Amino acid sequence: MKRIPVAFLTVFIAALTGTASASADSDPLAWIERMSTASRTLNYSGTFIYQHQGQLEAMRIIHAADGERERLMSLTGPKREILRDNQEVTCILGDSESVHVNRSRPRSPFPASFPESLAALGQYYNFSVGEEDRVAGLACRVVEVSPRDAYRYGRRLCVHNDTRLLLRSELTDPQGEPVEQMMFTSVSFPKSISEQELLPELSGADYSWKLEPDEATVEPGNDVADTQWKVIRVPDGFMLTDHNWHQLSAHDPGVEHWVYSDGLASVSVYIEKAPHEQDSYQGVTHRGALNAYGTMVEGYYVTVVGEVPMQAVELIGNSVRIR
Amino acid sequence: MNDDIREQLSALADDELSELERPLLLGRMQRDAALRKCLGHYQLIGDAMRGTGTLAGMGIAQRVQKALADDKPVMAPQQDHWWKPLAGLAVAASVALVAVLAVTTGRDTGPSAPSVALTDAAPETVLASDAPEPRWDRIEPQVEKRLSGYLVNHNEYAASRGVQGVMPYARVVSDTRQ
Repeated sequence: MKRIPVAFLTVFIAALTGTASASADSDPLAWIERMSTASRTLNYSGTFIYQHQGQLEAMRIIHAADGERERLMSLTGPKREILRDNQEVTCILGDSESVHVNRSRPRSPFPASFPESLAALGQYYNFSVGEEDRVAGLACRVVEVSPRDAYRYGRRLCVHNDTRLLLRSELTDPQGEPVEQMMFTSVSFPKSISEQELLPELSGADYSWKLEPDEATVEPGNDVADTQWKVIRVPDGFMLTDHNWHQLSAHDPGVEHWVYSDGLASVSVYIEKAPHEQDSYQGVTHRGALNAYGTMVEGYYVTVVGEVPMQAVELIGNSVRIR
Repeated sequence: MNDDIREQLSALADDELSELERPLLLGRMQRDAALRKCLGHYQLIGDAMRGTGTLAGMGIAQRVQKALADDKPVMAPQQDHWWKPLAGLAVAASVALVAVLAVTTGRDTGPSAPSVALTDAAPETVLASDAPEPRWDRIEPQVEKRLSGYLVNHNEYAASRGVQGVMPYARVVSDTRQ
């Protein structure tokens, strides 16, 4: 009586799996999630171009899943290389003949640390899966992320069908103008990456070396309750994700650091005491899609940096107050 | 956009546009955002077709940029200024900054922080594009050093959050000489 016919069950399961795979391919957030995982867990080696404000540069990247080791180097302009693993970031700079070694920060998978906001993302961005395209000879799927207000950048991504690696990325301003673009011109997915490939071309032997200090000597506070500052306004959907104090160097005072994220874009607020009360500190600048706004508040430098339009960093910067 | 313009853009991207036609096209490009965008696409296409021959593509991109800059377009009354994230002293600042990150990762405060207030103002009132903030025309070395430190620090934070528009360190490797 309770027996379910096998044929029915088979059809039912087929329908289920069919639906599941179809929805995975049409779900833009699933694409983004898998793309985020792919960039960390794949072996890949390729050349890409990076374009911002009419400047076009070529770079090469080699990424090994084992230990999340990565080597990025410039192919145009000054020789620069960055080696990164889950312990350190090493910057070797041919133009300034210097090497800098820092500890790295662990990469968290998308959707970062607050998955509950995944659904909320839809309030601030419109996500869609677009047509199929081709980049570096590989079939990829266009995923569009359009902001619903002027405080965020849009993204037009092309994600490799087979591996889900991001092959092309275009950041657009609220008017739809490209701000910054990255595109692979060739990429391969080797089974293994040899030690040799992850070694820098620049030895840095006769460069000046700077190693990070063992620990910060100044810790002005321990948690957000110790702060004397408040950030009154952030664009809708941005939430506080980190709050720290850093030390820039031995003689600098501690720098207070607030990080806000809407799940896709991050904005940092840095607050540090100005050495002289009468210092002037006011302005905006940008680098590709990264905008910065600086202002003086009660004798402190307040600087907002983020991959968001200028009006967003200005809005936040102008709302920083002493408690 | 008509076919003549398309051909001219394509020729410009390939550095084959005549000296006579070039100023006219550049003039039009200053007024027409669609044209500028289109040129960007032609450059990317040309670059992709040349495979790794990006040096050629970069050359023309810079020449176009220079031509536009030399013409002092009315839409850009002030030059943009660039941080130099990894030149000289700049990096010294960033070293200590990034160093602290690993130590302090456990200090997330979560969304309950009292300072997070949502804007209730309409975007239009905040845009205020009529009176733009002054650009840092000449960034003093001290300011530049500070900004550079922030850039690298923020980069590591943003990269750790998963979704990046570009390779996390492309901006750091990027040429900042201009």
